[in-house]
Amino acid sequence: MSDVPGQFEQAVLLALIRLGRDAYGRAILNEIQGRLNRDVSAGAVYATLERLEAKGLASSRLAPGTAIRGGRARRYFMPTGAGIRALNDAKSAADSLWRGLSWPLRVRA
Amino acid sequence: MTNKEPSPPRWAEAVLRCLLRPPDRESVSGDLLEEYRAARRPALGAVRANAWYIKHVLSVLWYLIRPYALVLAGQSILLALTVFRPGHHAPHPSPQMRPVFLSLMVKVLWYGSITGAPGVSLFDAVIYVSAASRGVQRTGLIKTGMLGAAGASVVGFTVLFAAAAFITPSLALATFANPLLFAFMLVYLLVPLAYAVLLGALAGLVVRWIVPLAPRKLGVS
Repeated sequence: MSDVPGQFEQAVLLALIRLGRDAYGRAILNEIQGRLNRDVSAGAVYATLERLEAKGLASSRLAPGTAIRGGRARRYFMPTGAGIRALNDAKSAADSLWRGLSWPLRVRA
Repeated sequence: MTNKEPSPPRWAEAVLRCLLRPPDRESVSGDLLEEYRAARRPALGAVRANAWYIKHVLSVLWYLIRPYALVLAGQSILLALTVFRPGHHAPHPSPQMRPVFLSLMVKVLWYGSITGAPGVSLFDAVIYVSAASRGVQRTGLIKTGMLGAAGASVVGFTVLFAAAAFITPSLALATFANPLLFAFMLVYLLVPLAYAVLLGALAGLVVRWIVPLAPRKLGVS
């Protein structure tokens, strides 16, 4: 089993999968903010994308920019095979922890 | 056409580009510019959209300096607990009782300083140089080193002031009540800031000189 990515790394990898071919920085930031229902900093997202690339869990390619972004290039990200395997491992680890418990947990008085 | 589009503050864009690796410089600054123009500026107006942009630039700086800023923050809390605790006099190591080196070590560990002044100690210098070196290695820009060291210094001093105000509230209140004391505090902040910027520039020059940026880091994947 590969190293299980952290929770935020999983959020970013899942955003890459959901966005598919449209997974570039701005879209990833908005997708994660929408899913987590909280403000997420650009610094956190870009640091995580850089870490995922360094770990070989994601890869990227550059594409031409548009006028609204001053012609600056877009970098599109995609999960690698190792990234998808890491997500599967993370899901099965979480499922294993939860197995046998009914959800939602009830608070004891 | 593009010139008439609303833009975030130029200084903030310049700071952002200083903080990014060469392969990310265009794409990341483009992402934030696109979000600013397409969503934030129309929805929030100029002032709040600019604040949004600056917040995200600061978040990029924070992720660059985080380990160093946290170390300085921890040192600042220890320093505040030592120096500002009411009725507490921290033990000064006596050179008569200890060898000089041990005395200095105790002082450095206890105060984080051998000078007794916050933000300008040898310990601070090591942190500033480390933050600056990391920044320059990432971007190849000396400006990044200066920004990284200055950012770490501001975090350290802010935490020191906040911790001191928490431990001795009268100290913080006196600063705001007395304009002269406030001016003194500003100078007190500017000294470590200038020290950090200077060390950041020096560290940047050294790093640029001995560790040229690897070609693969400059290229685009």
